[in-house]
Amino acid sequence: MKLQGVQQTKWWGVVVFIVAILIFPMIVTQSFFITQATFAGIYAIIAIGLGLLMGYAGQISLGQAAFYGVGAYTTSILTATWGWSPWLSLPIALLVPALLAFFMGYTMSRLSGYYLAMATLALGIIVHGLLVEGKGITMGASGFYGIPQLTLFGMTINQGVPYYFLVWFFVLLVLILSLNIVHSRVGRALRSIHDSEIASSSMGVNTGRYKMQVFILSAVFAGLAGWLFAHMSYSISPSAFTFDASILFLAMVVLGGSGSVWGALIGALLIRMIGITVHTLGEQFTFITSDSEHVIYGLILILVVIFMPRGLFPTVVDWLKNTTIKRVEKKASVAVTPIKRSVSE
Amino acid sequence: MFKKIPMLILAAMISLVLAACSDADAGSENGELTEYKIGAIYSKTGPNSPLGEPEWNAAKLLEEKINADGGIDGIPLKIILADDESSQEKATQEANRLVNDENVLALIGSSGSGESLAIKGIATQQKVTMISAAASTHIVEPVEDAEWVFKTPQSDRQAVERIYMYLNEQGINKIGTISDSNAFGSSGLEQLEALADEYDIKIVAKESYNTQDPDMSTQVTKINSAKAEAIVVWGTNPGPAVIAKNAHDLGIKLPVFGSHGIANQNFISLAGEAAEGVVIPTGKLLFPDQIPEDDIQYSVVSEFYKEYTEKYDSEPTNFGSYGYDNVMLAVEALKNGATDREAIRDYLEENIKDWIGTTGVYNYTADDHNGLGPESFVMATVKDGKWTYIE
Repeated sequence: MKLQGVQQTKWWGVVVFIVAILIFPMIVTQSFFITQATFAGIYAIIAIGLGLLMGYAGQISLGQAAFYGVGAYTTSILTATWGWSPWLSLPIALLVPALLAFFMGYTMSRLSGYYLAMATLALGIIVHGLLVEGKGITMGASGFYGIPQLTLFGMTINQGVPYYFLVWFFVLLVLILSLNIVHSRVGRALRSIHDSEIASSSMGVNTGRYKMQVFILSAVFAGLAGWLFAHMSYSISPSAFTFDASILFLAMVVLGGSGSVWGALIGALLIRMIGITVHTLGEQFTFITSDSEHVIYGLILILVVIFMPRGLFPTVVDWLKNTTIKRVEKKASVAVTPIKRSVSE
Repeated sequence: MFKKIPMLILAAMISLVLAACSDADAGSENGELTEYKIGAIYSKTGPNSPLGEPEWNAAKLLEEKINADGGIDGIPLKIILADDESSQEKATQEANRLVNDENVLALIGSSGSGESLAIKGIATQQKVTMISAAASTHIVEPVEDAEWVFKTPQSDRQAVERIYMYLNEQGINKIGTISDSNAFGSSGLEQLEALADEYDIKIVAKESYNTQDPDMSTQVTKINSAKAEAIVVWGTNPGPAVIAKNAHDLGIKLPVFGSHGIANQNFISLAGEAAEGVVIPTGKLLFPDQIPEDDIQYSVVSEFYKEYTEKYDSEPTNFGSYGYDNVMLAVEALKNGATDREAIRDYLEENIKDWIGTTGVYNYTADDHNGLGPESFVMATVKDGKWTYIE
């Protein structure tokens, strides 16, 4: 039975998603694309978290790279310096960014508007600075090295197809968790905050608490991505966790559509595909350099904000739905109940 | 239900697009080696491009030259060049592509230490020999982690040793250091501190700056008032040029020592008059015409310099010499019958003894995958707007 206004998770999409993950390495055997897809997965995890924060709690974070970096460095230090097992360090790599978000959010949740954006912007810069300057612990700008690889049932998970599956397995978990949250009571509360904080708080929703929870969740996701990133290779350096990276995550969410979990995922994939396209074109034409990527990202952001402020995914889905339903309408020529406008899923 | 159809379409589209790209250049190899493939990853663009560009050019130059001479024992050499854009992430992707898709026999590069460390992970996981062109000692240390990894440039350690040797000769034993806060500067400072006691040098002031700082007068004044007898600057352009200028403008007469990171004409054009008298350790490729003819490296260095400047409109700088040695070490192994990934590694470790390159004379051992001593550096100073060899 369907209740008016209550949306449920459509498992159909998840199934398609799983099939796509499984099929991809069979069609595309080139290591280059597998590596690209692995990075896309890592970024998708961050983008989904940021999407929840932006689309549901209506807050902007310009410092997601900080949580990403804190997660990566936490596990690196625990495993390489202290000799922990990477699996043991996973919960800590999630907990430390969460605590950081908690302390940040403790004050921020009482504020509205762009204060969180400004504070997270500063956080990103502070964390990057600490990673560079904390030479005794982080080994400074030249990068932390000696990070052990992940092993599972006695097998080492190497870069390539094994790591691809590991990353996308975690993307799947994050996706299912997020879809469930979105379609729960919490999700509805969050959406009400996004639409009008005053209205929802007068309805008895503890807006501060919900905003903080989703902020912490987004930090945990970023920490998870950091953990995956760190154990992929032998070394990490602060240059991966800059303000630029935070902006890239933001671009993924805005492009894909912040009001949708799927949108953030698609956004991460699209940004990656743009990167590959620019790279391939750059091999043919020398005037296309890596800087062109940023030009294109910027251009896309402008176009998306002007022409589809809800992001690519919800807009395209609505458009497809409208056209299919119109066709059905014509055939049946019966009045259909007005279509729900948004596909916030 | 209809909601998910677009998802499916999108997923299919992504798969198709990527699949289309992947079929484009699938190479065919039937067990027989028809060419020797080496993968070279350098930072041709991005912040490390002043390093990567000469290395990239050197690799191209050598590939053409070797193939024009009939290849290696009749088999052509193919160097697949990839640009990591000075980013670790791109370096990882390119290394994966070269090792697994292109099936290269060995990897050379990258220009920066961070990128090299990223590639090191893949080289170790996939058991491919890698020869790096970056400075950091961590690339080949600790030795247990560096089984598959070699490097050609001198480490900061040797540069510091060379400066300290020179300071001892000059009877200077109190110095003030000023280092860039980036990877290069902090690694240099680490060595300056670690080796000071061994050479009886006292560091009386320790200052630092950020790469883009426009003025370092404060730090220079502090070093001067700490009664240092010399200033040692560790950084790459433009920082050291600013410091030389500040010291000059303040009328501070202390001798200024730089790192091998400013061994280029650019430093002199940035510092102008203030560059006069600055002393640095450098590789010999900076001034091949000034190297004495009885130098063991004389012919290798001057020949490469001539070929490089004939083909390109620029100086090879010391980075060009790393690019040269990287390729030639791999070629040396191939020439001597080490034609698979493991054989190349073993050959480099066991058989590179007194091998004369453009950077220095290499002696690789199981404990030393850098293979150079401080004597691979010579001292140079700026005289009349040009780097000049100090006998």
